[in-house]
Amino acid sequence: MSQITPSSELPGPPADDVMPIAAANETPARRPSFDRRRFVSRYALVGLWLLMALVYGVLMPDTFLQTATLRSIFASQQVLVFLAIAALVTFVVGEFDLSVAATMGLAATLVPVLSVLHGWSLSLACVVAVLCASLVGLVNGLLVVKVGVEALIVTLGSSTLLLGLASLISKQATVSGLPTSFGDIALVEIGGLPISFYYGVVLALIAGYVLTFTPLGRHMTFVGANREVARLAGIGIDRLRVGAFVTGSTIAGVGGVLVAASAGGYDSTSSPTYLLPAFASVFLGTAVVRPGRFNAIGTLVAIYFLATGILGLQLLGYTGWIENVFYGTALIVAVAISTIVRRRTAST
Amino acid sequence: MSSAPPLELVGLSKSFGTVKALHGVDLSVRRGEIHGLVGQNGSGKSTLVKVLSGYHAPDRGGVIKVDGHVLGSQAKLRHLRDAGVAIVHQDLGLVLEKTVAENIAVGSFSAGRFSRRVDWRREQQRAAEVLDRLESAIDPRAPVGDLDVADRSIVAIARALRAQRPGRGLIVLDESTRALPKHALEDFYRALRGVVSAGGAALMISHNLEEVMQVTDRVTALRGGAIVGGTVPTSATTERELAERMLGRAIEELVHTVGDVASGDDRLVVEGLAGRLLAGVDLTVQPGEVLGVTGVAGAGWDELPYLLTGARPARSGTLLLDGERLDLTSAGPARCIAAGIALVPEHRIADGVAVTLSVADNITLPRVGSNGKPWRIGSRWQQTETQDVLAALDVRPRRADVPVGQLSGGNQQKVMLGKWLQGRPRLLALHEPTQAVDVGARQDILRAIAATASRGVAVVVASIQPADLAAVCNRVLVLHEGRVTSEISAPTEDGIVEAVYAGRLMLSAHEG
Ligand SMILES: Nc1ncnc2c1ncn2[C@@H]1O[C@H](COP(=O)(O)OP(=O)(O)OP(=O)(O)O)[C@@H](O)[C@H]1O
Ligand SMILES: [Mg+2]
Repeated sequence: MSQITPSSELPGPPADDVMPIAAANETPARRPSFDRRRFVSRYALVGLWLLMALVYGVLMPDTFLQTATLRSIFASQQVLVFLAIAALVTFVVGEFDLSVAATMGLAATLVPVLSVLHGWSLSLACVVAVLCASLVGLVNGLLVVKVGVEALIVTLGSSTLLLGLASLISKQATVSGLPTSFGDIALVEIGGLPISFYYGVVLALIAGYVLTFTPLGRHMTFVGANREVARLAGIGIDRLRVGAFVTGSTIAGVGGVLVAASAGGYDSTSSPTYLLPAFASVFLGTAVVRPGRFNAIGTLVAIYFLATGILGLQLLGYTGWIENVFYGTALIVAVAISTIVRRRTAST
Repeated sequence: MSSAPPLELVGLSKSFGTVKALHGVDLSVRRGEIHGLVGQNGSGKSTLVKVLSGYHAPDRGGVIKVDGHVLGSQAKLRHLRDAGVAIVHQDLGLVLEKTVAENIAVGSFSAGRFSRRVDWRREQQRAAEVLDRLESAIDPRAPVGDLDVADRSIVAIARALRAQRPGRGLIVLDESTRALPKHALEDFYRALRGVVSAGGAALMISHNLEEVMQVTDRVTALRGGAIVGGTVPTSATTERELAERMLGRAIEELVHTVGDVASGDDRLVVEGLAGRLLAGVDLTVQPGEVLGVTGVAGAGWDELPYLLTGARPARSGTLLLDGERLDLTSAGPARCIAAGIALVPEHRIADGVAVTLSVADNITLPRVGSNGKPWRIGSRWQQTETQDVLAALDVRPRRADVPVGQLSGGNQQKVMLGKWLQGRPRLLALHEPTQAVDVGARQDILRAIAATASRGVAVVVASIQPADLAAVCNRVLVLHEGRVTSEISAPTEDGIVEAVYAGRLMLSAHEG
């Protein structure tokens, strides 16, 4: 089996996955109201996060313990949140999409190209950019689901293709010159943080809600966990799989528009650098909140965990190469953890 | 050759969190014997096998001795193989995409001395040899995924026989025989007896007490993870006594659960049904009737549940349920479910439950769309449904939140059945509904099927087990080569066996 092929449900340690419905009706004798092991395994990453902050705080009391530092951790990860949630949507149904970053890049390129170079109205440019992203998802989805090509091949191919297209339409240059008023949709500050931070949080909350509490989310979860079981339960598995690709790409497209807005333009060659951190966060996210499962809130926590780690290292004087080394390591460690958890509890 | 027993367990325990799946087990398997191990669902049999295979590490303090050698705290596969221990797990553990020969060869490839390349010609040859010992005609080059369950079990057993060293070692069989038809069973028992009398030994786990009585030399019962009553010679006990020992209570004879058929119109009419092997079958089922279908492997009877429920498209055929007509060539599962048709499939792990998701999620899955609102599934009804199923079918542990994969095989089977019974179907089609369940649970399940029928549901049971069919069916159809060759209206076990094998003889007479 390939390393990245997700089985969207990685079984957690015994009794970790508690359906909210189950708890109430149990014999109290066998169920302590507070299960320490479960709590620890659920929130270990949060604890690690605090620990990391503490260590950095002790090492660099003057630079790390600053509101500016906090701000730069929480104000800089919006693109990643959009990309990670986009990737998450396909992971949940048992697929994966390597082209989310390139799709985001295409949308981010289209906005300035259409409006600045071709004089389209800004709103029309945004709508077209997002629609193009959706279209990419549709084509990917149909190739994977209907034609049956491996998702790895399809999305690796389309990722490279989109990168090329983006640099073609931008004439291989950074296109900027978007009006600063447009930047407001991403940059207006609320409580010291740009509004796009809240977009990201709301997006993660919505994704988390849909996956946990709606029939759609339950169906997606089963498609990822056991496609045949889902099919025999009457679930339109193909529709959900294609739908996941389209949704993922659309979210990536919206992320692209926000990137273009906040930077006033976009350098189309920068897209690939976003992919790995997004994937690392999704996998690391399976270690929190609902251990063993891809989940939106866990992903959000993982993003800010990784951002804190990076920032601390940068403040310590490591720059440039550190990002690749850190995110690469994080991805491998995250997948290794989820593989071990799965091996420990897989059972028939 | 040493005189030490091939397998000796001393004080073996295994806990999962607070659950003690095994509790101080002492067990000794002697050379030259077939040793039976029986116990209720969840009593720890498979856990014992998994500890033996090194899959689970036992709790501190237990000792595993193979041929007199103490294995380390966690048995290593290589050591087991060197000692000649071969295991057939309850889920068979085959790789579906690989061929029969590749599966049989796993772990014991004959590699070229210098090249380390696997010698596939030789592997195919060897595979053919072991399959021959089991008198099986399976093609070593066929992908395992194309085989039916009976043949898959034979492949898994062949792999164990292949790994076993003549004159020593131990074969462990975790319910490996449940899917085998009668004639294959006989060949298998003969092969096993051959291995054992040549100096090997076997530990055989089975819920079929009749088989245990017939095949084993000594027998041990597990209850709640502990051995009850020690090991006894099989000849010194009875089937009933054994059942009582493992259940811890007296058991009533399996009552004939067949109910009355309501008179009136047919509830289900199927016309011209054809599939891969089925070649045009008509049948009717009345409200409250349980119709059995059976035959030898490859006769097509086992396709019926899947074709009737839209799980596989039929080549031709229509279904009329309470006046509603469905074209079975194009109706998928969704249409069929909407029409009140439910399928309880045979392959539990592949088709029946998502093992990584919780018991509650699995039970309620088919209804989250219809019972829930698009923006919220709602928890009250899920809770009620789940508790209903857990109580009605006596699933243990009675917990909604554990992943189904952590239940024992028999309890998984109950969850799968409960998931569809909760939907109040009008037509219920089942394939081997009592596989992997203990005697008590088998009765629970057969009663649940009868009770479902008595509510007016049309029930179709496809099974290779004459005893199940006789216990629950009003009528049994026997198929050969895709067609119905006889209909038994007051089925008995003997009657069914006779009809199945009479047809077999008839066919071979034709061919000869
Ligand atoms: N990975 C696991 N995590 C937690 N509990 C487990 C795990 N595997 C098994 N159990 C529990 O251990 C007990 C013994 O299970 P086991 O599978 O050994 O039963 P069994 O005797 O093989 O039953 P069956 O006849 O139904 O196959 C059960 O209560 C089961 O729920
Ligand atoms: Mg078992």
